Amino acid sequence: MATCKDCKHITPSPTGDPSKGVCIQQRSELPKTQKTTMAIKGKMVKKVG
Amino acid sequence: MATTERTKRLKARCRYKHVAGGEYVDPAVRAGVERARYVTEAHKQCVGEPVCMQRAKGLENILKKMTVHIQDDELIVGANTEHPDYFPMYPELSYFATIDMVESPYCHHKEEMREIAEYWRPYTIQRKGEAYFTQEELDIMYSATTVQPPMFVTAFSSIMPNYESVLEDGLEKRLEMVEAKIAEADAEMRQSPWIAKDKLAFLDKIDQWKAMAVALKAVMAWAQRYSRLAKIIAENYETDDTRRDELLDISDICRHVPAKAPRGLRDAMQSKWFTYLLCHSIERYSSGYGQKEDKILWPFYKASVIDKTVQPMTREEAVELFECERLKVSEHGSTKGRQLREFFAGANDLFILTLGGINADGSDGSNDCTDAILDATESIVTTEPSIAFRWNKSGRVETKRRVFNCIKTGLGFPSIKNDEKNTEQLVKYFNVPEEKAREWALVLCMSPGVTGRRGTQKTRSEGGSDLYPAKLLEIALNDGFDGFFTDMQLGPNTGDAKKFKKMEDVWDALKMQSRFAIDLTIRSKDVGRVLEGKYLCCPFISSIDDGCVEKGMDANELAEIPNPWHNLIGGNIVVVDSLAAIQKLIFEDKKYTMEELLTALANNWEGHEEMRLDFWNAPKFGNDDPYVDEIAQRYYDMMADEFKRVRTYSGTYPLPLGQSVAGYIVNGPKTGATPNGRHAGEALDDGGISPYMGCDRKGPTAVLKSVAKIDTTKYKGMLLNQRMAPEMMSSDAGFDLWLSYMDAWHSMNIDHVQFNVISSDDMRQAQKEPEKFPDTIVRVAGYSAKFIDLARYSQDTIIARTEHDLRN
Repeated sequence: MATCKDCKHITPSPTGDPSKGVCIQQRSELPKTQKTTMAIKGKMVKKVG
Repeated sequence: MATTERTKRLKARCRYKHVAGGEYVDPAVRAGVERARYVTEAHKQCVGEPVCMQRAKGLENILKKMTVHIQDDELIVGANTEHPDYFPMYPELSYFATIDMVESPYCHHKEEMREIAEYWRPYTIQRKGEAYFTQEELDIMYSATTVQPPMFVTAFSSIMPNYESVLEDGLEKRLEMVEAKIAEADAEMRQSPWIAKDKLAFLDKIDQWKAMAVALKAVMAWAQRYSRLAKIIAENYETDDTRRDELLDISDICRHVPAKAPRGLRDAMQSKWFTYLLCHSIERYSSGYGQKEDKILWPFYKASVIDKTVQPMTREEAVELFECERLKVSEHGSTKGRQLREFFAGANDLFILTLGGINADGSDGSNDCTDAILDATESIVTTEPSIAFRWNKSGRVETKRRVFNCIKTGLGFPSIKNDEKNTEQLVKYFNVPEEKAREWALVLCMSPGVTGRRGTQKTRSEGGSDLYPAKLLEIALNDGFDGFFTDMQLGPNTGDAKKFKKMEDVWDALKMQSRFAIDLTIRSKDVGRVLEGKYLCCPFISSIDDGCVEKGMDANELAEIPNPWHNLIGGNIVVVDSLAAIQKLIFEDKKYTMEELLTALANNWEGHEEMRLDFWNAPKFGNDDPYVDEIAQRYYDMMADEFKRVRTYSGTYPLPLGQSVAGYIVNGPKTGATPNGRHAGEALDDGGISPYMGCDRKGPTAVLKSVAKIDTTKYKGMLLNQRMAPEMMSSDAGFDLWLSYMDAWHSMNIDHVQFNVISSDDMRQAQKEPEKFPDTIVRVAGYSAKFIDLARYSQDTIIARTEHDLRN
């Protein structure tokens, strides 16, 4: 399982390469104008360790 | 509720393999090692043999040695692994997918599996495929941003097995056919005079036929193992007299099928299940549950349930058998790389069977077998398999009422496909004779393919794989560069968008980014197709296709009836709404400049909220607004035209297919802020042509009118999600209102529609107290999932969809 070297959180890895993952820790609440409530700013990260 | 005590018990202990956030929900789920172990053992023993024979002997070794088991209460037996909690592994396909699973918590045989993965590494389809691409191209594809990673790394496939030939012939007859071809070829080779060009082609064919014979014998022997096991349990261990008799019946059934043609419904169901396991899961992995079930089972249903001439049973017993089938599918485990596990949020895999429509002769394809399957679906309440119902104008109302009942229950399916439109597509684009075209079923979620004894789709390299439009627009506005997710150049340089002077510049950049991605992804698919034919022969799958047997060809290689398509996954409407906003606010009203827009997008609209609201409130698709609907028409036409430029392995161009699976969820976090007023990381639109969540404000008819303006005859399918108010659907007038809506939908020649019928309040309550909502099901995209199995982010996207009430 890929680990983000910046935040050290375990992340899912929706890429084709298991040595790379997606950091999905940075989340933000959306304004009332949006019907969804949450945005996740993904970032592709290299697996550490 | 399950109709019998048996199916209640089976459901209570069903070992679901659902995935949430890429991880299996049930902690008991494990990676089985036996399939990988025995295919590897055989490969080591077959060095130097033709690849098709290596593959046949691999299958033979698996079927001979893999542990077989029969669970309490089961009426349908057979599994793809050594334990009902397990899923199988395929080290011969993708090294990445295998090693990802080996290093996961699900693999408890790490040392052995690491050794197996390393053994296969040079032989994998992945290694073979990578040789034809640069590292830059591989990096783009593996990032899964503009295109889906290629099949040689995802190991993902789909198939429509030739159930009909198994059920009509039985495998003994298939073996006779194959042996006759070998004898015929041997005789031809020895005929005088020797003419090399006529005779040498027989070499490959003889190899293929011999491999088919090995596979057929191995499958028949495997079924006998189940027959013996059932008998051993009955005679030595079972204390309950009723169950002992059932086990002896199961033993008799497995002795008979699939070697011989089924006698009645119990035989047919068992034979179909064995065939499914082999084609989708044991010989190789392929997603789907592609079959026109009420057509292939109808003769046996009629004999057993209606005429009661063979294997007589009551209708209630038939419904119980269909409930058992649904639970068997629910328990069936498949493995995929993490990217695809994320894509199927809340599900295990894509299992979609097809019902309804018309028969080859034009008569109504719905029958009492259709109704019994729908009755079982409504009673047992499982997410899998999903059902696609072919809506034909002439279809009988009592079956349509059952379809309504399932939808009203909140299952999210059957999804509805336009029968006439999909038949016409197969005739018009793929030259399928009309009688054969009328027997279509969905290959996976949305694409029709032919069924029958030959010419069915055998691999996803024929049709499938994805393009991600929202990301294409993002990089079109950034000269091909992705600064949000990968920090990579994902496409060609199409110019600095800050300097775009007219709307055509935006269209041109989007077109060129799409063109690059289409060429790359279709090339990877066709390279994969050739490699599948060379290295991933499937002798059993070939042996049940009349065309493969006739020609002595592997199923991956033969493209008797083309069926190419390519998905536009999640984001079509983000693109359409974005283009509308750019056109209006920048190039027509001149309220903002491209530079201002790109600055705001780069900052995720922070400090630009007033501007964002202008873009958010610009015309949105789904409201019968000609301004944006015309842009939608141009966008969908443009994408279809771009696909029309290429020619695939099977000799024609692929039709695009608009849908989303859970790609709208997974790809949202990979996509930066977009000009439709969407924030970076926010979900994309949830269908192929579904309005963006919350943006369809003028009611369900306005949605249909917008959708109907798009020329979807150029598309393989176009997914439309709708949410209906539960109280309306449950009202006395619910069915009539829905039927009127469906008549309108059909008269507009729209391709598809599917419904969520669950209130926002209930979903929010399920978020708070998930334990009280174990059976609450929602439609995600081409499949349904248990609401509580979805991640919060995914749940919110379903709550955010606009709820329509047909009474308004």
